[in-house]
Amino acid sequence: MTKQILTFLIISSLLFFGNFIVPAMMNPYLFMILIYCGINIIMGVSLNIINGITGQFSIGHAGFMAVGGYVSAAISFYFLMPLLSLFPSDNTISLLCQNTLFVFSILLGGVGAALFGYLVGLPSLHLRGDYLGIVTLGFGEIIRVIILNLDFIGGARGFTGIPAWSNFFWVYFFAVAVVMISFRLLRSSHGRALLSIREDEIAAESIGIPITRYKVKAFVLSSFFAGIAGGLFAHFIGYLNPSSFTFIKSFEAIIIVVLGGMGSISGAIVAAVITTILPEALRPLQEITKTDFRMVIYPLLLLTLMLTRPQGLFGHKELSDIISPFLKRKKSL
Amino acid sequence: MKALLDITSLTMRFRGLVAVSNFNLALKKNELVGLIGPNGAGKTTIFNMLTGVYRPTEGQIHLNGHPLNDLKPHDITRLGMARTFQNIRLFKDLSVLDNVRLGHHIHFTYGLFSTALQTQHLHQEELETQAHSLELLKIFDLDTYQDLKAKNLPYGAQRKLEILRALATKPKILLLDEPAAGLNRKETEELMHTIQKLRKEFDLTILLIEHDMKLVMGICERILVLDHGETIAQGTPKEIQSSPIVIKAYLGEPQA
Repeated sequence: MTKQILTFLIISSLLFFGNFIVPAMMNPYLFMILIYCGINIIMGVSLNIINGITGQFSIGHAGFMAVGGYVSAAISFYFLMPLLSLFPSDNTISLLCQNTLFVFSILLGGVGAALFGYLVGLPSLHLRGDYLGIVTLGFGEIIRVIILNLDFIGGARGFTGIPAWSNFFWVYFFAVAVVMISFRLLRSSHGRALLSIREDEIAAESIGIPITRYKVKAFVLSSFFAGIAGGLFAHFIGYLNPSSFTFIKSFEAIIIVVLGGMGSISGAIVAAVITTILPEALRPLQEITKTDFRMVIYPLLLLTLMLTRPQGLFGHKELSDIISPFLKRKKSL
Repeated sequence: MKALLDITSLTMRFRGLVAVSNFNLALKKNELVGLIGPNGAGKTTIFNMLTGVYRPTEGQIHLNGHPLNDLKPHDITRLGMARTFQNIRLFKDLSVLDNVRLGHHIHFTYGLFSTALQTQHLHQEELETQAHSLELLKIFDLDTYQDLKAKNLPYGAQRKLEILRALATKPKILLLDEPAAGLNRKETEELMHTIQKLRKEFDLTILLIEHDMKLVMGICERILVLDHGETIAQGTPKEIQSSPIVIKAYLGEPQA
């Protein structure tokens, strides 16, 4: 337990100092890409829980990100901002209050998304394969259209005036937390149960694993994380628009999972970073050629990768599985 | 003595086809009963009804007094009945150890929050399970392969691993669906001894489907013969061997 508290303190203090150093080190554009990397890591790792580990095909992940984003944005805008204005604007205390309220708002966004995940998952998770995919796609779009018609959160105009409370610390704090929880889940009896559902549902039931209940659990957890990503995103750019959460956003998350290797958490992290940076890194090409080749080259790169490594970058493996044989060999030498 | 597993007038119809009709069996504690019959006789269908994969059209199944008819497969496993499959159903991409640990799943008590916080409780249970799983693997000398993916094991070892996975659920009744299929003579003989050893050691009641007559006749105390869904004979191995009805079902009528 003390070891855990120590790890927690080390990571948080590193991120805390990073919060001052990192934004000063780079220009706002690069910083934005860095933040998107963190948010996409959360999206990829969370979708990996359903698509990779449990082996269910969900294509509605953007919907849960949207719910999380809008719920936390609305809470911040309508309740927390007026609440915060009551406090004296003494610098340190109000900053502390603001950050506490921010975490509260992000977590509530996650809970909202998890609730939606439960509502969607309960009736649909006994479906298999493509059928589940179509249902989740449908739900994702329904969520978007509902948001489009809610006027108090901006509707089609978009939701403006969300306080920009996200920073390097919180984005990466949540990213690290999501990654760590996923790893721990994978190495626990619960994670093994999810893997067994991916491997063989009939066999999983035969050894006493209630498969529907576990699928719903995975779905709820995954939506919760996606909701957190949504909240961080909303509070970073300070503006939300339903058109940011179309099924294309869901596919971005699927690409991360497939590219990284189904079920591999390390893979999802690496793939999230690649898919965030690559389209941006290709921008100079556009300046040279005067035509937008970006969306030609980016898919081509993905295609080549999938053709040469169909199991994804990491396959079913984790980084530790790949490194540990090298370490052992070194020791034996 | 009251029967541990009580099956009365069990019937399964798939539309017009009667797969199993009026099947009765009272399985006493520690019995080892064989279920034989030609292909398509309905043996596996009975297993599927017992374990909740199919819902029987008619009839009752009671395990220790609990009715099983409307229960899901996972609930039935929790009540103490585990099975293996005719066409091996291992978790192919998981390690040998994980396959057995998964069998242990229903005995875990820690929740998702313990998982996120890695509590002492979790470590304790995981350690115990690992030790227990390795002990089980030693029964079939599979402990040296614990890190291998299940799909990379030789066929015979896969069958054994499936039995171990079922045993890890700590069942009262073990249903074995053709445990010797694909094994050679020597392996089958070994399996015979192991099944008997397991029954003693784990205080098991076993119902098994098998085509290998040497194994069935060698270890079963009682045999039921099924043909076209009907129970055509039951008795001791000796009675079955000399029963003219059974010979007829397997070999056909002698030419006049």
